[in-house]
Amino acid sequence: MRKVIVILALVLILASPIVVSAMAPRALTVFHSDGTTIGFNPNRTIWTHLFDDGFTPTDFAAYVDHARNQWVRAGIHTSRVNDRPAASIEIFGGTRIRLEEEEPELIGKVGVAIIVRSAHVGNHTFDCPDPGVRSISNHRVDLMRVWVPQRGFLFFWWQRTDRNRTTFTHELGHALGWFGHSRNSQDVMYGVDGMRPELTTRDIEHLRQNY
Amino acid sequence: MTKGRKTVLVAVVVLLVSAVAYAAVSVLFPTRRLALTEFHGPRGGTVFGLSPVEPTFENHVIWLSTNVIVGTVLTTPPEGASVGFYEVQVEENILSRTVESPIKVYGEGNLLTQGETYLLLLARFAAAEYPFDFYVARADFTFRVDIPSDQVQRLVNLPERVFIAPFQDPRYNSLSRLREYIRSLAPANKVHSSQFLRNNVQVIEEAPSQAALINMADHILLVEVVSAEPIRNGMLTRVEFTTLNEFKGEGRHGTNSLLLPPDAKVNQRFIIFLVEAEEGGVTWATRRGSVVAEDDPEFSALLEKLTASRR
Repeated sequence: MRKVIVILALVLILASPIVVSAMAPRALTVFHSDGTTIGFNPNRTIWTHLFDDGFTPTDFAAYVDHARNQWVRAGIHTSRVNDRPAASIEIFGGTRIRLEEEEPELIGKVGVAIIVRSAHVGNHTFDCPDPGVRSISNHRVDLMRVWVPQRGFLFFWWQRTDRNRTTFTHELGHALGWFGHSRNSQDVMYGVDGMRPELTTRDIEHLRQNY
Repeated sequence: MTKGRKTVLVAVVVLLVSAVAYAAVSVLFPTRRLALTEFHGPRGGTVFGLSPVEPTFENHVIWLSTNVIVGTVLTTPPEGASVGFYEVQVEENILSRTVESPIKVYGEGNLLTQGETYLLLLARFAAAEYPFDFYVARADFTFRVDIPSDQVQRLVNLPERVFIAPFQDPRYNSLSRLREYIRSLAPANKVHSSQFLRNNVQVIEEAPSQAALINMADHILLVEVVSAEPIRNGMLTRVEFTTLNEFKGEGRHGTNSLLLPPDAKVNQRFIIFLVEAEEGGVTWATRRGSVVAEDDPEFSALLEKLTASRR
């Protein structure tokens, strides 16, 4: 019992500066999203689940790991958990037909990330030349659910790999607080499917400033 | 020249000619584009989707919609629901024809307001697991319509209900002009909309007889639920199960969990009739009669019949 209390206290002490700093209003130096919101995910714990025959478990795990490694480049570390209630990010993979039945919003989309629980914790400002200084709504993400279905037939296998890597990295970005989409088609966080598995500087700097 | 080399040469020439022809057509007949006053979808939503095509208005109509309607919202999801069904009276079918009216429109809980009339881009959604077909709203392009004044406005901020003139060319900010424009995209929509949508999913409402159901199912299972969790929209329950008996479809049925009716509970037993989907995975064989719970009066007789057929 004593050990548990000590560990909990340590976790709180270590985690609180992150939470407090992310919650504090500030002037953002860049803002690459087409929206007016940004978020941070204080726990960054990932639980994954694979339905049916969608991906092989190995491929699915590899895509999740690729996405996690990409966001490590932004200094944002995540951890995997087996205990679902401990997760702040749930990633579901599977056949398209099954995932669409679970989440009809997926229809006509390559992947979706859905805010399940979040809280508005304040506002940042961003000095945007047009339309002037604007307020950026800052949100703490408590639970985000990500759905990525298997892809249909693509001519080249490496297209499938790179496109899946892009999708998983993109959706994990949303789950970590990258809300809206980038306006630049080179970015992973651009809102259209493609083969851009590596985060760009814009992808990284946009989210890193909120951690 | 060897036969192999000739084939390669012909293939290269065909490829080059196709590329040149495609470029010429693209230049001579460029896709018309209505420039939007704001490119992005409505702000403040809780769903972030990665689109298979550039999120222009035209692409949403051509690739991502099965129907475009003008409709009035009769009912909305319960207050506070993150997602749900709107009942919408169809005033006009602009692109394709909805099977019925009113229709059920699926979207975020604060997307539409009761009593208001909208022009909606919709993707038809048919699945045997759901008790009815419905239409998923393409939230990126939600237009409020004022029929008497012929005006359309696009929703750009969900929580604050901000609407703006959608297109830079003001002529298209009228219902009559926009209607014409959408109809001009119908031929392209017919060609492309099946690529990313469920146009080809046909749900069988009910088998004509129990024998027909047994015949059409690829797998018939007796399962016991070990965990149950309602899905986000509350219409179904995701269950993990133990297979107690497999009456049809020897070998694996490729699934470890299923969607069952919302009242499915842990430890409850079900007889389930499943068919294999083309893209992998399984779905209910029919909308009605494919899931028989153990408290159903037909359960025991059906179980007996299936057990006897295995002997």
